[in-house]
Amino acid sequence: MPITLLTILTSGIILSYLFSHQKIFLFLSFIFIIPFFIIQIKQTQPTNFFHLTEMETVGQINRIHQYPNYAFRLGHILEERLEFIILFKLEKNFTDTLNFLFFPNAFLTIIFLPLFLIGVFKSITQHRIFTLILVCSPILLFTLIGHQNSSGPVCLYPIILAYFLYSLIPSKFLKNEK
Amino acid sequence: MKNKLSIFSLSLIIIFGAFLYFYKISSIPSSVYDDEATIGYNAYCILTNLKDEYGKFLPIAFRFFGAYTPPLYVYLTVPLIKLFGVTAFSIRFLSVVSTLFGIIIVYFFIKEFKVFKNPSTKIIGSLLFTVLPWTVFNARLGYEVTLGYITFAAASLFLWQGIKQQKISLLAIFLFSISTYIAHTERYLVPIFLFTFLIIFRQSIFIKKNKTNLLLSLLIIIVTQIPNLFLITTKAFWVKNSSINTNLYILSSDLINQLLTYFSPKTLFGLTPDINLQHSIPYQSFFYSWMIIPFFIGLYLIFKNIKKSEIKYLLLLFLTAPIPGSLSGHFISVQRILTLIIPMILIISLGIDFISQKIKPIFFIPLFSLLIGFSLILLWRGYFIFLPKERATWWSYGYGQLSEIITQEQDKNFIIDNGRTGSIYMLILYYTQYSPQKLQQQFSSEFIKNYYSNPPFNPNYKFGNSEIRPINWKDDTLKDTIIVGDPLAISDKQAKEHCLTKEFEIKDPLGKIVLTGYQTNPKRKIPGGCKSL
Repeated sequence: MPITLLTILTSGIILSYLFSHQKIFLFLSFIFIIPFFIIQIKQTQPTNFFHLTEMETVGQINRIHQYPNYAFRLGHILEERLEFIILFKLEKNFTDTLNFLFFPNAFLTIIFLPLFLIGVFKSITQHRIFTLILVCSPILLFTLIGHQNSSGPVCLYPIILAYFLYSLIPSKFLKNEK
Repeated sequence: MKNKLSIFSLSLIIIFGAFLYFYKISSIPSSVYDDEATIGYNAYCILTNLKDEYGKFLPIAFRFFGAYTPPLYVYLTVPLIKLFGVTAFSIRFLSVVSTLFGIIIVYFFIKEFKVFKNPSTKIIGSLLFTVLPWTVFNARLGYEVTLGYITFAAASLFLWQGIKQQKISLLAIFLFSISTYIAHTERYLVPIFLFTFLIIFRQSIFIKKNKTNLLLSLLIIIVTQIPNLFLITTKAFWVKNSSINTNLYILSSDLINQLLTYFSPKTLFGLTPDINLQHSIPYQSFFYSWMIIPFFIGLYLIFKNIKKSEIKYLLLLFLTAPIPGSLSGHFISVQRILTLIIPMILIISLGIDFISQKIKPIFFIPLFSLLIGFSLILLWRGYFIFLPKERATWWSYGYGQLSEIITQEQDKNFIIDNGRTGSIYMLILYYTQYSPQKLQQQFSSEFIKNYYSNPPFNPNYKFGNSEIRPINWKDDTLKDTIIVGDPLAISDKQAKEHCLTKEFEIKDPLGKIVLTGYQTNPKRKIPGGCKSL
């Protein structure tokens, strides 16, 4: 319940900034989004980039053995070097973040998702930096900590709600609409 | 001068593409898949006596495992079988060549769309298409899906050009119509696409001076669709519709779920949700993950320029592409949405076009080269190193070796278990190149008469010295024969219990047993055990 209220409040603040362009709302948007990030981090079992599980180690050994002799060295680099292990784990977290199926059901997704994207695109034309920071920061967070959590993408909720509502507002009501 | 440089660059990309697609094409993937074997063997049958495996004279839909596949890929493979024999090369050749045409199609799409600002984007887009994991994978695949999506892409390019030069649209209509004879997807996609196109672009199409053209288009459709019009009255045409749910709620829920899955960046840029591992490259997504960034920029540019007609057309291509796949049942099958490749590449190219204008060439060129270079290393790792080994069993590995044993040991009888896979008979037919005439004799004239009525598909066969059917443990072990099956079909315990002697083992490239052949010992078998002789 408190999260629902906080989501509504935060999305309201974000919308207020998108409408009014007042710096106070810009500041408040970032302040209010921080608790969501903290909740997300607290409820997530972070990806360990420096350690391989037993299954991952077996997979790694299997892969190394498949390289032909001429590519053995390159195989070791791609499969064993920490830089590449981290890169592949980051890549997986990143692509897992961009899953369209994070809504409770398909019907909600098909309504919310296009409108959310329209809201983001609409906002980019006016508030490029603000929107990019707001939308990209949860993606960055998920890329860094992963998705093993019990509560879903909490830090996305206010952003989705704000941009979903923003997409519904006719352009003529927006200040300085180009 | 600039044009000459573009053509030269395009030629280099095509040469590189030809290398990428032809390199070790007979051995990677490591064996011929069931669907490829069906194409190859049926083309061989047609070459022999103009009849398919069942003895049907020049079918207008091939009854592959009961699927009634559109026929064109088989007929186009016939001359290749004549030239190169019944080989993986012959079967896969057509896909390679069509994908090379795909590179040219992407080039001209970008050239035609005025929304692209940087003249180099057409070269960049063609290169991206060439090295895309999804393109490479399907270019080296010996069945109809690749030719289908490339023909559809060519038709859509001509249709776009046809808006300005109306005569070209006739060629587009012809190709659209032909594509419905190549793959199931196009059979559903073409009407959906053309209908939506007519609605969106009605003001440019339904004009007085276009009247003759429209009539000619209609005539082309009617004439070229005569075989399909005949087929539409039979059960064969509707085989794939059986997977469509008639409950409206379930149908719409399935449709939305599947559309979202197909469009999800996780599906396209991450690891595939397709449970059939024969459809993908190990540890490799369909698009390189770095392409997400230009993809979203491209989507933003689409949003921004939505009123431009080329953007509407691109959006039409993009949004209609996964509809047939989404209608085809509960399972995600990425081979049903290959028509998404070209619009996706165009959207990504749109993003790259934007980036290339914002970043100075001195930074853009090294960055782009680095990304392409690293992407190629990942492609090599996934496709050329891991796929032939890790996915060998998914590509029906082992039946080529088994067929060699069957051919060498003509005096022995083989029972090959097909309890879990109904398509095994086709692999044996393909590898042994069993006489089409002898096989066709097994089907009655009544069966041929009802060919398009979808008679029940029976995967059990007996030909040459082989029987392909589930093992009957009670009777088969009392005959002098070799029983062949995978480790799930014949366990060590069963072998011991039925007094079987191991004759041979076939292992996959990772050393895992895929097939084992056991000699029966009827003389040793007694109720409840084996006696020693």
